[in-house]
Amino acid sequence: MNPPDDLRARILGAAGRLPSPHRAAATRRDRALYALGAATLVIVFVALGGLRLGRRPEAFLALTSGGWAVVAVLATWISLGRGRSMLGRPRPWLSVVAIATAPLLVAWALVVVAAWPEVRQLRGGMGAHVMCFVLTLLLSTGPGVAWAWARRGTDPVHPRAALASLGAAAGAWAGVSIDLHCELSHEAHVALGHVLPVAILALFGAVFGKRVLGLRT
Amino acid sequence: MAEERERPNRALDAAMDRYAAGDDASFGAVYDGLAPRLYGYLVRQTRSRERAEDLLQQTMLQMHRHRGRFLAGAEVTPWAFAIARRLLIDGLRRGKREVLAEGDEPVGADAPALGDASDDVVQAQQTAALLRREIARLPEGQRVAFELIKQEGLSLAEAAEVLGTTVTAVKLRAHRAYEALRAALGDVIEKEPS
Repeated sequence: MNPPDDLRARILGAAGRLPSPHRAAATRRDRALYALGAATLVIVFVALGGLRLGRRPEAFLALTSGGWAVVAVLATWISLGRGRSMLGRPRPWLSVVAIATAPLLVAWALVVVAAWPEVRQLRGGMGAHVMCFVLTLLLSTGPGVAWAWARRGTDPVHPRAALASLGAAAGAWAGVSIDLHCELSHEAHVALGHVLPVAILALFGAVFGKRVLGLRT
Repeated sequence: MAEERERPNRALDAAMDRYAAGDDASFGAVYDGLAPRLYGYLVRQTRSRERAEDLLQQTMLQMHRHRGRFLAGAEVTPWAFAIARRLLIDGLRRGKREVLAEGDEPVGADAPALGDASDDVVQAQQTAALLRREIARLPEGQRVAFELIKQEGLSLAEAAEVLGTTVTAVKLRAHRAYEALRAALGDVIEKEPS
């Protein structure tokens, strides 16, 4: 079914008057945003005091943070990558990232703590839980905002799932950072202070995804 | 490794690729390749040519605004249909459900009058009306998958992208829709192609 002939001229004319960046400019902007997000994470991490081993064995820290980094890389690859599609990953993939990232982080922490039971003595009170909770949210802000900004107003299909998975991925990177920084390793502290923010960020993405990433009309 | 997907719109994808890279003149080729299919889809969905023209214009301008995000090697058709579908849904949700206004030519208005038609034409019109009614009664997910594949001619992979889900899920939805239609209409629709 062919549209009216004059519509073609109208649309091409309107496009000619509406500036839009081409691929090279858009790619430069996105890369700058991603770099800014990563730099913000690093700056906040260093400002907080950076790496602190405390009484934790080096191998324990390497294993927990390394495992969490693998989860963070996978979550980022699925959430931020689009494969060869303009519409990003399928909704089930994004939903799995949003839902499974936090439980995966907790599960990995439990596995590693089981191998070093002495670190369970490194427990903190509610004040320490709250402090780490806030710091994890703070650490996630840089990458989270940068990724959401790069994608804002562009998702016509599944903006809620997309932002939820981006939130989980940003939270996972913040979790890696706080795990490197915080000397407490008790399961309850890790779950409440280091991983709960990941779930909160995913939930935030599910709630505000349409407003942030949804196609602007 | 995933099997290489068939690319029936290779020339169109290439035109969009050039446009994304900064060749402004290629937007005409993108329009020519997409507009007839998008317009047909939008007319069928809105039953209003004016509304379909408005949505087609919005869709093309959204593609123009976001051309810099177009991935080299990506397919433009699912992206365009996904944008058109989103604009359509948002319009309906904003209470802009089309009411066939005076002067707004409804789809099928140019069909022959029943009095002048042969028995075959009348039969075809009745079958089409019956099919439309049964399609409208399908669950949303099944109906959309069926429409994109059977009416708009999208491949399973393209329909899956438009709906943001997997090929398996779309295949299942379309199959269930077909079974439901076959149960309702019997011999009126042909056997589902494998």
